[in-house]
Amino acid sequence: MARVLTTKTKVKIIAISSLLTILLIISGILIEFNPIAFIKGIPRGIEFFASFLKPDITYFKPILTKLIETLQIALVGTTIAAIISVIYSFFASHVTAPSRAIYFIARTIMNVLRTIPDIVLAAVFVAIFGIGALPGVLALIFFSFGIMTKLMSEDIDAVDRGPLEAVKSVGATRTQVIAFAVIPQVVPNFISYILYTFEVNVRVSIVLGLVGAGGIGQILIENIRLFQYDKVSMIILVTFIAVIIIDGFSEYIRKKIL
Amino acid sequence: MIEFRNVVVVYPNGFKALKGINLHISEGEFVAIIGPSGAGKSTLIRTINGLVRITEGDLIVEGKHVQKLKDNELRLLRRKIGMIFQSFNLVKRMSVLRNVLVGRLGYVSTLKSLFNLFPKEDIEFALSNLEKVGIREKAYVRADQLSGGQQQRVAIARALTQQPDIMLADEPVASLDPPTAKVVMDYLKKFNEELKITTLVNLHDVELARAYARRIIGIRAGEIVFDGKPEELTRDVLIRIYGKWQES
Repeated sequence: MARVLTTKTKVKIIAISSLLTILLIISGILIEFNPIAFIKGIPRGIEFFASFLKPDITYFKPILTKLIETLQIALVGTTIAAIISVIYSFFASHVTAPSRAIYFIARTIMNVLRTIPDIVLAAVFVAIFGIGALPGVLALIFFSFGIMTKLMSEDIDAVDRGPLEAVKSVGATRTQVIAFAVIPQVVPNFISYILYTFEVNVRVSIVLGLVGAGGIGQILIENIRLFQYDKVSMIILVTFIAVIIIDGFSEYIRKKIL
Repeated sequence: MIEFRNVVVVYPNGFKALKGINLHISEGEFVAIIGPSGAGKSTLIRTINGLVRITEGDLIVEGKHVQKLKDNELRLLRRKIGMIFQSFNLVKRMSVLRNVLVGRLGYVSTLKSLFNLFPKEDIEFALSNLEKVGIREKAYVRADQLSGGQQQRVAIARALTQQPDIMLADEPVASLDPPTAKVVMDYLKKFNEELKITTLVNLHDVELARAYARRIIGIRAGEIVFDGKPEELTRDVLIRIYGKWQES
């Protein structure tokens, strides 16, 4: 019988897996992960969840107002970010960038922005502009700019070069080549990315509310702090349904387009 | 009208695709370029419209030194040079008519073309060129709905819409079946004769070259090893072009 693994490979596997196990144990100790504390917390957890079983239905109206605010934040943030990203992504693709220098700068800015977590962006904008919808919208613009430019510029990188060469060969300008050979190839995916980003943004904007960036997240955190779990559960229920509807709707449009 | 003087092309990766080409092509000629793959056929015809820039030598097309042209001047030259490709290179998601109108891009302003504002004559001219290749009824169909042969005819119509003096064809029939290939080659021949379009066709099929061209150029490893009439293309010459393992 042929040996499947050489001795050298076996040693490597054993060494790597023991190293990973040791790292896991050390990490557990350092963060004071205690299984006993987890088990002790279970009864309180049950109590917590029990209070969720009676959502406060009368609280529906204020929730709806805030939910609409959340959707508006997501919509405005996504739309502005989409306009900027569509234009920007042509500078961040090696196929369409006017020069190597511009391409490099555009990608660097894009990659730096992508490293900043959404919640940090929101916290910073809340600190600058105060509590409300504006910092939420701004945070979403930056956050979704990062997602969309990445997806879109890579889509442009992957276009079929044949039609580009053909349009170039008739004596078209750079702009005409982009308009006639690149854009028709990327439009369906671009629309899909924008809808996807909108879906993500609805959820993100809920989280952003937790740090004061407006919307339903704001009343969620207020009610959690006041231990009004019946209201909290109503908020979660409404949000849950809203997210399902929006995702389904967006999915439906995406399927239609592709 | 096309003159190569010691033209050398070296690609950025160091590959020497053309090693000192000397060639004169007169107005109205129909020239087939044959040779094994990688010999430099595609590079050779792409230097003519500046899709590949030459590294050394002098290349004169319609009285212009191609290597010296600025972007803007190169565009003006390109609009008089039609080009068709092995993979047709239509924009698949656009209508046939819009693909053919691409041939007018060198003539309309960028802004107008972005809003699809082609002059009425241009649209009529595009339709008449579709008529010439026998597929006017497909004008409003999406390009990817057509068969390979039909797509290549759209590509020819696109080139005709440029009102070209020169037509470059890079393996135009390599992905088509023989009867369809014949249709496409017949159109190229027809427009060469009727519209006096100087035509250069890269072919890997020697018989096809013999059947259509009045002049055949054989290249091997970036050098011209044969330049003559079809009847001069003997077995010995083919061995010189393709090496001894190629039977034809």
